[in-house]
Amino acid sequence: MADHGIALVVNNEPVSTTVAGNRLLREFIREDLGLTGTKSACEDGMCGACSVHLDGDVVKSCLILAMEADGRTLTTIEGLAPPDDLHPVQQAMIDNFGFQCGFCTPGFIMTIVDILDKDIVDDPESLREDLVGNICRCTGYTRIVAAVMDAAGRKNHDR
Amino acid sequence: MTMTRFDYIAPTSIDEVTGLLSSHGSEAKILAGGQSVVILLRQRLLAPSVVISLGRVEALKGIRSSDDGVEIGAMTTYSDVSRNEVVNRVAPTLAKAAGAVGSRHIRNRGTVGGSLAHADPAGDVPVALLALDASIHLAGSGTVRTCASDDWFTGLFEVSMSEDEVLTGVTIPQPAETVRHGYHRFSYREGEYPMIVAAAVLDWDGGVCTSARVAMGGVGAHPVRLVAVEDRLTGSAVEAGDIDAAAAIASELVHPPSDVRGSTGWKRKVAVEYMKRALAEAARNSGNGHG
Repeated sequence: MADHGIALVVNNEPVSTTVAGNRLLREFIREDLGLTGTKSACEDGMCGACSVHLDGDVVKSCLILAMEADGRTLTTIEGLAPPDDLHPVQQAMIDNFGFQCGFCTPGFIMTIVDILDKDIVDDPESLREDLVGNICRCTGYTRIVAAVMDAAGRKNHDR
Repeated sequence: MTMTRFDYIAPTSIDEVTGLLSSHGSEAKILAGGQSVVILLRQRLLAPSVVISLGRVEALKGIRSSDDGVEIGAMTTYSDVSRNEVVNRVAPTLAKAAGAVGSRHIRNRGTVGGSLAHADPAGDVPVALLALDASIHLAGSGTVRTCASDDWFTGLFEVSMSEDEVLTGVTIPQPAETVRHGYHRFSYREGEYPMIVAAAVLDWDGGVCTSARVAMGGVGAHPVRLVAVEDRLTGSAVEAGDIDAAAAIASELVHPPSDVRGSTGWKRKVAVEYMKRALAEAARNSGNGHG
């Protein structure tokens, strides 16, 4: 079976290449594009370490075939902000010590950006429910929640 | 484990999909949102030679109101369903069910059609659609047909759809103004697959329940309606005593499988409790003066 042509926009840059039909989007991102900020852990849709944005929606790249991204817009952690800059959510995670080992952090940040883009975050408890798709084994989540509330507060302040 | 190799085809029309299905037969597998199918491919529980993605078939997406009710395209995501104003007004049970699935990542990809075709025994959306008396629309080569949700689930992960058919959408009948809904699910933690799902859709007249549809998931091989419970509730005010009587009937009807999450006996108690909560919710909102 021949590979398939795929053309998409990755972090604002057009990409055109070929890929096998059974290639996962996560494998395509990490191994073919070399963007290793997207992590691979459970490989079963539970942990959220591989979270990316597809056409502006957060998704788990281990549950999507690369070919499903053909013609779409993909954003990974590397594309959230210019190379020398940080996205406000990245800065809030640093300021609030929202990570320890850091392995889950890119996935969390992609999810948090999706939440803050689409929803009003004013309650830490409902926020915790909204973070169920990402697992962290270091922080106990408290610092991550603090970082999101901080980022949400700054965003509201800037409005 | 890695997936077997397959060809990936992304047609843009329903006719193309049915044409591909008739030429590839059992070698083909339809990919909707993929949130279950990709896992099954990786586990090699599925090993198709052709994967037909529905992601580019625009005719399968979207939510429309019609004289018949609310039509939802098969490729409409859980996120779109749970946030849709019409669905929240007309079928709050479905909005709640769609909003309860997995995490926002899963809801952004998973679809109404995919959940019905996959037919997990404890799927949130299938249970809600069964309680809502939804009609399921299918297309084959040169044919279209509609299947009542009552006739849809035929076994464990089995539905009344043949290899050359594709699920195109569902219609939820326009409910009377007097219909009230209840929906409750149990899982150990948020985002986890539910162990028990209970949905109740009750119609009311002057404080008396005039018709009832009660559906449950996680209590057998596939989502089921509890018809004997519905019969007990119809004509009653669905007061505490009626709910207890319905619970006693339900306890005889549900057979949750024993697994790592619990024994059949314990799960049965959980199932009956969550059914009671769904009934109480549909009664509390009815203005029957109780609850």
